[in-house]
Amino acid sequence: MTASRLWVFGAGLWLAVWAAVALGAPGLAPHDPHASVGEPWSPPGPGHPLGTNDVGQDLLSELVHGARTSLLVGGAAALGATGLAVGAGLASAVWGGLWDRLLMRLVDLCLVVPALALALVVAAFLGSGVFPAVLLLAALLWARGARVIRAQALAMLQRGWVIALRAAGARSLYLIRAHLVQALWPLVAAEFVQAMAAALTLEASLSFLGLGDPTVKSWGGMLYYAQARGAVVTGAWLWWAVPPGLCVGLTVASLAMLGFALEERVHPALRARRAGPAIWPQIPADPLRIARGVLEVEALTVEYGTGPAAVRALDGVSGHVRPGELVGVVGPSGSGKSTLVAAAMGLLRSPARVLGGSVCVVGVCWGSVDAKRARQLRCRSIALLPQTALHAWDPLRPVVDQVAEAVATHQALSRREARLRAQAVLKEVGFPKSRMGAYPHALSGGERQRAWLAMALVNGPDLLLLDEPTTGLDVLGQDELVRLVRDRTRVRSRAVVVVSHDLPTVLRLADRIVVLCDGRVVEHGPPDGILRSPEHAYTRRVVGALQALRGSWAAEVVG
Amino acid sequence: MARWVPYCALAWAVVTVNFALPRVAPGHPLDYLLGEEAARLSPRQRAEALRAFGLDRPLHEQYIAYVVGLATGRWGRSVRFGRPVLEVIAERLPRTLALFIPATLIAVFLGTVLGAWAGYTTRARWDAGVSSAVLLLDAMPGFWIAMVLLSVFAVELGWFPVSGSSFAASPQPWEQVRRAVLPAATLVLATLGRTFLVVRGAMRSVCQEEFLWALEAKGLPPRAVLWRHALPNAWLPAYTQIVLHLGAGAGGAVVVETVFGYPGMGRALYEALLARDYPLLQGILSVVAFATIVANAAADATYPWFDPRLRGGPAA
Amino acid sequence: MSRRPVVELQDVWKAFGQRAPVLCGVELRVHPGEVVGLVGPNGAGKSTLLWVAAGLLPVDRGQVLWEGADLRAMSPVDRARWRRHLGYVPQDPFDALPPHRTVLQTVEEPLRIHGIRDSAARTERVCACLEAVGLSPTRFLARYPHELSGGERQRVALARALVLRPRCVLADEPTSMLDFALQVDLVDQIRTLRARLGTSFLYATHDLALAARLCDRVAVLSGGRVVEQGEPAELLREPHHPFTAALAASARRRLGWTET
Repeated sequence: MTASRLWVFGAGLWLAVWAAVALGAPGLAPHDPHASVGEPWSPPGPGHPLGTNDVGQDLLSELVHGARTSLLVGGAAALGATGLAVGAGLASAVWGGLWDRLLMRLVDLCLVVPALALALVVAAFLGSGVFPAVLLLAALLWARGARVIRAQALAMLQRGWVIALRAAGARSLYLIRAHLVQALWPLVAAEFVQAMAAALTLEASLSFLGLGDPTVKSWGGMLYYAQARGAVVTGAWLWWAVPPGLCVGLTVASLAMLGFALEERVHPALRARRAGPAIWPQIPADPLRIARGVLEVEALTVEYGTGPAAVRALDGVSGHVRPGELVGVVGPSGSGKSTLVAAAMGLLRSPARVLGGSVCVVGVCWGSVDAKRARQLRCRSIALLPQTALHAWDPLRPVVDQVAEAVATHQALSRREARLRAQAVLKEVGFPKSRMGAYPHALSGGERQRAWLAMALVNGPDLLLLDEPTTGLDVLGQDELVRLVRDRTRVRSRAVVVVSHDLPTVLRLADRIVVLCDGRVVEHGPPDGILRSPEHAYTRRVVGALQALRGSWAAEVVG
Repeated sequence: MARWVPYCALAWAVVTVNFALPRVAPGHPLDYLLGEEAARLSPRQRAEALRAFGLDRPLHEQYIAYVVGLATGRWGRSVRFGRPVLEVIAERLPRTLALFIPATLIAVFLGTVLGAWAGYTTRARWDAGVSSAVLLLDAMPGFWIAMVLLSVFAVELGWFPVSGSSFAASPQPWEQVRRAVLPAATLVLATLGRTFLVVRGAMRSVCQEEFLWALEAKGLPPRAVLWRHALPNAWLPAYTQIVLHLGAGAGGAVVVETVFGYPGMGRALYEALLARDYPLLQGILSVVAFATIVANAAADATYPWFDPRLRGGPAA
Repeated sequence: MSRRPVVELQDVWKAFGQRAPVLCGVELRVHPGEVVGLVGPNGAGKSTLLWVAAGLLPVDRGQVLWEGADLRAMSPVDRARWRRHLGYVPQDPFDALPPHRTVLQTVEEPLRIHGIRDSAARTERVCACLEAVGLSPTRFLARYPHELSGGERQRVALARALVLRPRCVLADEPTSMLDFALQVDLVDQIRTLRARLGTSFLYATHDLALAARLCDRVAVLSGGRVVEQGEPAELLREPHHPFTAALAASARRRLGWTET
């Protein structure tokens, strides 16, 4: 994070310095770049810090004046391209229909044209000069930005709050003015710097091929003469070709760096790196320890972050699950349920830190095993139906392959056998046989949920962990899931834990209920007991809500 | 169906630009079609030449004749090389492809492996180091990389020949390969960054997907997660770009071929441009347009092989 | 005779592209002051129906009437002006509020759109609305969405829908992503609001039990069609359509009345 911020700062500094140099070029350059002021081909020395070229022009002065052309052409072309991109992108997204189709076809066309070949031909006919170059580059570079801005604007127009505003009477122009422009400007800035980087490169390439204005000094033009006059074979390339090349490269790199930084502001996901695993306190393996259950949680305390900003997600949570039990964990959002699930799977990620306590699965504690042994436990000893089971599929593989993969990872079976095992369990959970070869996208939510359940059960785990299993399902799907868990899991898994905010579902499943609130176990007992005499404030609230629903139902039906 | 519209439009645009180039450029079209010779023609010869090229007919008939000629392989003679255009292209295109395809494949392989790793790793410092280096490499103009490689490895160290017009004079295959090494290396270095950045960015967003975490809950080792599941997903956005890039390769790498004096399509385009050799220019542009269209069609047609969501069949 | 329905859908058809139609001949009326539950499973077309009713999607066939006026006959300006009588509450609490605006700015935005320039008057209306949905203005006015819980966000979204004192609020499963206890709380809040303000609601949900607590009338949507309509008590006691029966049975099991 700090490292990348340093890079961005460096990039900004480089650009600022060259912008200043370009502005003050006549005062800063030691000589007139067009005048022969020294011995031709002289290496760097006093008077000419970068030496001279074949006609005795001072190379440093050329470099300083060249910055003007390169940055001016690049900046102006990028400004034009970005302007076109914003106009076309917003128009396309907001007005849609025919406009959208026409503009996007044009964008497609511009994107498939080989830019340099076209630029070459057009430049050869438009003639050299700064203004034609700017026009040409802008026309070549607007398309990418238009597509990006359209996509982002369209995504925003689908947001719930935008729909609410449109329903309340907000017109398109209002939305553009009040929300879109404000939300899109980092993206527009990113497009600008990226277009400028591309324009600089193209301009340098054109100049290098001798299609630039020969009366104006530019970095690409310097390289053209270095090449044309044979600097490469004489050793003069070191002070003639390297400095302008580095200037082009570092400027383009700086622009790209700024562009990435700006893009990350629009899409924070680009910044988020995969987090490393959280560290568990080391627990020496004790061969004499007797496991009290398939899952034992002992005084588990987990915090996110460090220092005063740390948030305690779990605070001394204890409990265990014996074989044959079906335990429900109920709690509101923010009570630490997700953290508990991740901890039980041994998959806590930084910035989570385990401050104390332990979690042991079939007597093996996460702190005391290496990564390989830990992997062997997952899906074999403790299996998970994730909260996002509807979306947690690799979109590129058929579900049956993905279930078979879970078998093959944990059991020494041939591919065929693994597949047969997978199909058998899929059938058992009521996954339709005709859908066996289907890809995830072709399945309904309920089918995907069933398939995940099959994947979790396929290795006959000691414990099955259901994390918010009703999320995203309607009442019919929920009903089916409950029946499936009750009928099927007991056969395939020795114990089950259901973690959910949905008290009615948990009541239907669990033999024993644990209530989690603010990272603590506040209450536990059999469902009847919880329902009859809830003690903690949260439990009373959630039981009250259920009773209220039951009450109004009874009143309705009885009349 | 609608996706064909831009490509047909592109083909039409290129053909029309080709047709228009010698007719709108200053001077008489005959000057461009015959080069120096045009000045030496007597008025009668001139009239015959006009008739021979069909320049005495109305514009729309010329246009139709031009399109028909293009379709039937009558592409004219190159002024610069004094040979039929198709012959020049038939000689140059294989050389360009021999350089471009291996270089692109190597660049794509390196860019994919590095990009996938950089996007997946949890080690921020390593990622920042590799990414910055590749970003810098990507920012360097291709011709400049070519100049530096040429200076260092051919001139200073003498490991490779300083290529040039002597190319055709050295028929031994080994010598040809030796001459192609530096241009190919330049292409690899100059194009590797594109793939790297696309794959790395895509990998970053794949790492946010729910299924990646779920794979770890399945007990899969990181190796399998990265190469078997994450990479195929991250590679999809890069795939189309790579195919399009290969298509654009038919036009040759103008700057790199120019620096190394490598006699490919790019160099031919450049020479045709400098010499105002319209028949050759038209021929090369037609090839480029055709290759672009083919590459687009290929990308569209093969993409569903990699992404089942775009295949037909039983949908929900 | 009761007054004209606030929102009325007559034989509405809607398809996206070449795919099978999402709505096939929907007939639905929301009368002034009435809370209509739109109950159906995922994918039944509830969201599409609300969008159509809000005039945000053009229909393929049929008519959408706002207080008897055909939407297609209204000019864009008239339509935008009439929307002051319409509120909309989205489903996802994390998507319901603009991330870069405070609660005050968010809730007053519909007032700005409809040209109420007096900022003191706007703030007063916003405070009244926040209080009506059970949020203390002094605590919430200056907060940003990321500082709010899911339940609080949906209350703010509800306040925004109510700030123009609309005649009808369209709510797209506003509770489905909230904790169970909060779901019932919010539904009760809407019940109280309706009693106080007389606003009518078109409330989409997949949970018949929740709809039974809130609604005067329930329309069961299945496969893009309203298969049954009636008072919740009737539907629960003797559902005519098998689909309604399945929904009722599921809801009954969910509440723990019968266990099979």
